[in-house]
Amino acid sequence: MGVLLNTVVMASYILVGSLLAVGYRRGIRADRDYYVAGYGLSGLLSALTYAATTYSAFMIVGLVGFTYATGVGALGFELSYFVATLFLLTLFAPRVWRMARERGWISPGEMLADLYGSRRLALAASLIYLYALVPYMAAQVKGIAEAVKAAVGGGMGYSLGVAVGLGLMAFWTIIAGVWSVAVTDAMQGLWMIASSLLLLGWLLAHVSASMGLEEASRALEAKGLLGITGFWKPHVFLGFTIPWVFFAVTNPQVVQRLYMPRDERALKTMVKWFAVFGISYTVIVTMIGLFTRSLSELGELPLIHEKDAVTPTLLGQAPSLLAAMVFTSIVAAAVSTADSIALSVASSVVRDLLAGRPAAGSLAVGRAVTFALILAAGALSYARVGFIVALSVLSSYILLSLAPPTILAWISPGRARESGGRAVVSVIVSAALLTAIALAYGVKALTATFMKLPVSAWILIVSTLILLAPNPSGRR
Amino acid sequence: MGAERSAGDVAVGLLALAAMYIPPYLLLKNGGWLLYAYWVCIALCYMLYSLRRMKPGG
Repeated sequence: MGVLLNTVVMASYILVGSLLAVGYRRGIRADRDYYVAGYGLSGLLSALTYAATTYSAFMIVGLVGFTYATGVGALGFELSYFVATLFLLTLFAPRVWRMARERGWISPGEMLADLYGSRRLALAASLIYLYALVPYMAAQVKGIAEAVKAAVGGGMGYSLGVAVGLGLMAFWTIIAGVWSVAVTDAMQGLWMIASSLLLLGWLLAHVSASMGLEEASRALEAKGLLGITGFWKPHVFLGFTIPWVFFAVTNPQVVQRLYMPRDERALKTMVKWFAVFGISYTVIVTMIGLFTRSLSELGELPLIHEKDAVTPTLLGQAPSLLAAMVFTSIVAAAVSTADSIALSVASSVVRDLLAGRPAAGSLAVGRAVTFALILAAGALSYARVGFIVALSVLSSYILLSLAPPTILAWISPGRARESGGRAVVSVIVSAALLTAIALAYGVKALTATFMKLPVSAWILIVSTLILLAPNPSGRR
Repeated sequence: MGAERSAGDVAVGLLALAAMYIPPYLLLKNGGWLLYAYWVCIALCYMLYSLRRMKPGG
């Protein structure tokens, strides 16, 4: 019954998404239509695609497990990202939105090349996107495969999941580019938040009926999970939050979404509804993690030692239809993140790496590059190479190398114009250092410290100093 | 949206970020749901501030 229900719900999601993708096709005549919707997205679509692209399967799987294991500090970590993103959007979104249409930016690399007057910077950014984000896409495909495997009860589930994930990503990106991605993101975003809200409602009712919310709270407090646990030492909190604080300026798939709203009103609507989505989803997901832990503390569930197993274990207790909806929401969260990244990285390859070549202007080449990136992510999702796994976790960490030059260019385009050479050196040096640290420490790179500060903070300081250093001629 | 990037916006944003990091380690290490409510409250207050700043003429 469970497998059949999971299959029916998943098939409904695929059917509705595909009908929306086909129905929402717009005239795609040029790159600007395919990658940035001709700068014509409505506010609500912009908001939902921004939210669904940002919030991946990490939320309903990773953050639930993280809160379960480390307590309320996980909420602080996720809300620090949220506050920082709103801060950056409030300061810079209107200016970036305006400049994008005035100057005709399509890829984030073009923005950097234009503001710094340096094609080399766009090339460097493009290469960093490729090696930081293709493994991240692979991690999303792996997440889809694991969810499908759990939903169909093992067997060939993993391979089926990879096929479903790649098929959806390819179909929904290639059919109408960001138009079909945005409309399917909207559907997926609503599915993600609705199913998580239903799961929280069921969980709270279950906890109330079995032990009462007060008893559950007491159990959490007794374990210290409502305070700062031993895990969340200050350097760990900083180390985890630094890459996410800069997410809105370093990740091309979200930077590009600042170009897309059709007018200023749509831009404001995008920020407003993204904010409402973000804070609601964060609260819902962390509550699920905490109350699932209370079930374990009071013997209703076994203690779960693997963080990523918390949501599947909880779903094993939930009503079948609800479990099917949440399993499908995991797939939706992963697809909505991965297809946006595929399209964004493809825009960077076509517009920045292939710039000046005859193929660069061809939409067919754009579609072929998108498809090749999706296939590469599928191939990597089968790989168990340690460094690939580490890269997928550390994608935002490596993309930090782009934070100082992007922020400088947004604050002061005039100064950026005079700093092209130093920006290239800053990006290459910091990306090389971050990669070396990722190679040496694996996922522990996030919490590695030097003189009590996370290494990522030091690298941000070094790359900023390189960028702002006076040059020998006295010009900036 | 003419007022974006004012010094006040920068100061308020940095204050909100500092509030996410510092008080939990100084005052709120334990205290039932207080820390949870504190973090949500700071995020919500900053959200309302930033959305107000994004309004036309804000």
